[in-house]
This record gives sequence, C-alpha cells and structure tokens, in this order.
Amino acid sequence: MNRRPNPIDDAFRSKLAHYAADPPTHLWEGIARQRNLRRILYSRRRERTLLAAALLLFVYASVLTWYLQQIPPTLSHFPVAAGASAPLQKPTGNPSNSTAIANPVTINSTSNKSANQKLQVVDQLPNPLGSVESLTVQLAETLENWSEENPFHPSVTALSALQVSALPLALQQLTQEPPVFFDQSKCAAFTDHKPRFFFDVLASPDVTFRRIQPRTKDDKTYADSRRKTEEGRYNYSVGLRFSAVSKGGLAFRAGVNYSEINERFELPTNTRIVITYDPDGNIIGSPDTIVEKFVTNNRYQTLDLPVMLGYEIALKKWTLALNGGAYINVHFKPKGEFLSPYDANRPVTFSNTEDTENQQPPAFRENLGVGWYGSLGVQYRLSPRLQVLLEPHVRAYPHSFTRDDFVTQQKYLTAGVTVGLRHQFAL
Amino acid sequence: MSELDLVKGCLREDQHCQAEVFRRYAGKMLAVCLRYARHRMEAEDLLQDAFIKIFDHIGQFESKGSLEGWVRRIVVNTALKKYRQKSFKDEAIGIDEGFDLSLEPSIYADLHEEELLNLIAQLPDGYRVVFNLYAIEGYSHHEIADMLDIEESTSRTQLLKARKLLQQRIIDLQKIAV
Repeated sequence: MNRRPNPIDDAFRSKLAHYAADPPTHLWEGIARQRNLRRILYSRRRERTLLAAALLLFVYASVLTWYLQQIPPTLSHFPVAAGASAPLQKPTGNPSNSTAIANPVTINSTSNKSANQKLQVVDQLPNPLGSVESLTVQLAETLENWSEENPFHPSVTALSALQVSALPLALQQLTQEPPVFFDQSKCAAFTDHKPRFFFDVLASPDVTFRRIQPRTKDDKTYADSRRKTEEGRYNYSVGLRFSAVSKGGLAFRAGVNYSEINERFELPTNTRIVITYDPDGNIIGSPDTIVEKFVTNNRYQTLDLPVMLGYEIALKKWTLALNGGAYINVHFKPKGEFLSPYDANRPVTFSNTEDTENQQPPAFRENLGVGWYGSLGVQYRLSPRLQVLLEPHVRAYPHSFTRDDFVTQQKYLTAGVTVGLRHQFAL
Repeated sequence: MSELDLVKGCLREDQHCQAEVFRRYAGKMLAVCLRYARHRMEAEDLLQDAFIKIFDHIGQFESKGSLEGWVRRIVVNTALKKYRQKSFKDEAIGIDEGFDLSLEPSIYADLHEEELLNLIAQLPDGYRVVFNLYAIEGYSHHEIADMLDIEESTSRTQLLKARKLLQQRIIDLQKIAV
C-alpha cells in the first residue's frame, strides 16, 4: 500500500528508526538475576513435580496393595482337602473353546499315590509337556544324535560332563512327585478384613505463628517495621476428608482443605493535637493527641490437598488417632497491603502476580509447595455410622510465603483444634 | 561472533552469549522502548521484560530474518501487550476540523532525537502506540487494527490526533526557543 508522505512521520522516522540510547548498566544485572532465579525455580519445579509424582505413585501402590490384601478370600483361593467327596465339576459350555481341558494328561497312570488322594481335577489340567516319557526319550535321542554329528562343538564337551541318560529319568521322577499343592488339606480362615471408609467434614479455628526474617542485614529495619505494623487476627480452616481404615487401625486419609490467615496492617500517617478552648480563650482540659492511621486487613488464602497416614485405636465408643502427612498446596492467594520495601512510610498493595497497573513486582509465591501436618484425634461414636471428632493439629509450611527475591522471608506455623463429623459408609 | 553462534550460545544458557546479545541490541531496543513508554523508568522495565522473553524464547528464532529484526518484534510486542487493553477506550474521539499540517520542514530538522522522544512520550498512550507503529515501524492501519484489536478507523483517528498534538508541541517548542 502506497503511503502519502507526511513531514511529521518522515522527521520522526528518519531520526528515531535507528536511534540507540545508552542502556544503564544495572539493567543487564537485573536481567541476569531474573534469569538465574527462573532457572532455579524451574529446576525446583521439576524436582517438586518428580517428588509429587513419586509420592503419589507410592501412595497409590501402597493403597492398592493394602486394599488387595483386605479383599475377603473366596473358596477357590484355597486348597481343597484331599479325598473330598464332591469332585470338582468340569467347566460347562463348548469344550472346544476351552484349551484347559483339551488335552487330558496321563499323570494319574504314573502316579504312585493312593487312589483316594487323587483328584479328578488333575485329569482336567492341561499337560504342558505332553507325554513326559515320550518327550524325555525324544530329548535324549536328539542330544545324542546332535553330539555325534558335531563331535567338536564346545557344547558337546559340556554336555558330555552331564549324564544325559540321567535327564529323562530326572524328569520322569519330577512328574511322579505328588503335587505339593494338592496335598495340603488346610481350610481357609474366613475373617472380616474389610477396610472401613469414612467421610469427614472438618472445621477449625486456628492460631498462627508468623516469622518475618530479613534476607540480608540491610533489610533488618524493614523486617522490624513489618513486625510492628502487622498483627494477627482470626484464622480458620475448613475441609473435607476421606479416610480408609484397615481392621488393624492403619488409616489412609486424603481430602481438600481451605485455610485463611487474616492480619491487620496499621500505619500511622499523621498525628494531630487537639486543643479545646473555652469562650475566654482558656484551654479546657489537656490536649488530645489523635493518631491517624492507614488500616487494612490482609488475607492469605490457601487451598491444599492433604494426604496423610494415620493409626487408630478403637476403645468401645471412643477412638484415638495419630495422623501425619503432607499438605500439597494447589492454590495460594495473598491480598492486602504492607509497608513498601523501598519506602518505609508508604503502604503498597501486595500480590503474587505482577501488578502492571502499579508497576509493583510480586512479593509472594504463586504456590506454597508442600506443608507438613500432624494431629492427635479423638472420636466418639454417636451412632453406628456417625462419629464426632476432635483433632488438635499443627501445620507448617517450610517455605517462605514470599518469593526468593523478596527482601524478607515470611513463614507460618498454624495450630488449632479441628472439630468435625465423621460418617462411615460402605463402598 | 556470528548471530547464529550467539543464538546457539543463548540456547545453551551461556551467559557470555546472552550478555553479548544484550550489548549488541540493548541500545537500539531501549530507544524503541523509550518511544512506547511514558518515561525512562518504564522503558527500562519494558526492555528488561523484553530481554527475559527473548532469552526464554530464543529457540523460536528462525534464521530466515535478522536477529535484530526478531528482537525488535519481541520488544514491540512486549510494549504493545502493556498498552493494548487500556489505552484506547477514552481516546477514540473524532478528528477536529481545520487540521493543518503545514509546518516548515526545516523546523523538524532542528529537533534532536531526545526532543523527539520527549514529544512522543508526552502523547496519550493510544496516540503514542499508533504513531509509533504507523510512522516509525511502518505498519499499515489494517495491521495495527489487528495487533491492537481496534477498528481501522480508530487507528487512523489516533494517528491524526497524534500528529496534530506533535505539531502543536513542536510549534510551542519553537515559540519557547524564539
């Protein structure tokens, strides 16, 4: 498309199209620092993903193994007493479709066990070797023929060390040994090993212990100011939890948990001295000092997936439980304001995403990683399927809530008493 | 070191190659950022973001064009991303009557680069972006409309308004100089 020439456009293009400014030296340092940080975070993310995958795989394998062990045994899993009066039935249907009974074997004819210890089911088993006698004879003949045709083959020397003629005999003896499986005459012990399944609805008022630490000595003043201007308020967590408890008391628990930490940020902005005068100009009482403050409520919301193992001891209507495990953070949202790290007299809005509007770099991490959880629980059975539970707990996030490049670390430890209802259900 | 060697080095996360890419293009790209940003600090932030993107995505560079052209596109796109959403809502206004572009060409010749950059920086966001894309980068109104997700007519309007403002400010500068 042809453009109409324009003197303003031309003037700006001719002078600015290839113009170069002097970049400040700190710019490259900033880029290099961010690149390094990203590399570290990326590698840690990969490590975390692998760790989470391994953990999930381990948990899955453990639960599967454990669950399979709990499946009640059926009669077919156990040996039948020798000489049982009721012979096993042949499978019904078209025999041509069943390879299992296509080739009845002749083991019975060579067995030296007494007739009453033979089972009819043996006749129905397939014989993978066919006729053992004929096979062993064929094998011996083949080996002899081959060694005659290849007298200098190294294998022949090795084979000559063996008593080839003894091989058929050994195989024959093997087949004549009574099958160990059929000789067992133990009976299956049928007990109730089914796991019990529970669904918990939980809520807890929490107390948090916050630790703000400067990353360098230069940031100590800022960390002190943060401690002075922020204080804890109410905190709570609510959750849903699924528990599978084995007969032995071993419990696997998983669920979802929402927590909220609330804090109050107060920054004195102005101090006013109010003096009250009477009509004659005399001061009434003593001057009042009014401190004007900037006040805001800060909130840290987390959504976690708890995965834990526990052990339960049942005492009539009461159950005691000990739990420990991980809280895998899936969502973290900080919201509020605190002192600017660059200007201690100015509050800034913080977040864990880049605030392009205010040119504010993110202070907090997008994800808190894995936290640790431990609890002691007491449950009381209200009805056969309903329990009430009380669970004092401690939860800690080992990583700082703030990013690695932020001037302070901010770590939390939460303690509380969970109350909840537990419903037992059957799968 | 050739462009290809630099790209390969950057792919290996070689910091010397990354530093060399920065050294070669940072000056020109900072000038690009200065044209799109409101002030120098914002331009430096833009440049930093752009170079992080450049190193993140350098594997996508195809050796068909020059590395400088590719770098410039990323820088411009980074700037556009910043201003794309918020710049045009309040600025799409009609063209004033009696718009006159008759200024002596010699007036422009007397202006230095820094003065021109200052003039551009004083434009409202929408005017500045469209003027940069059209007058200096050489994009058509159709392309600008696509890039900024606006109507072509809006792009034309913004350009005309930008030119008029620039003209007015250049006249003011001349008055001050006299």
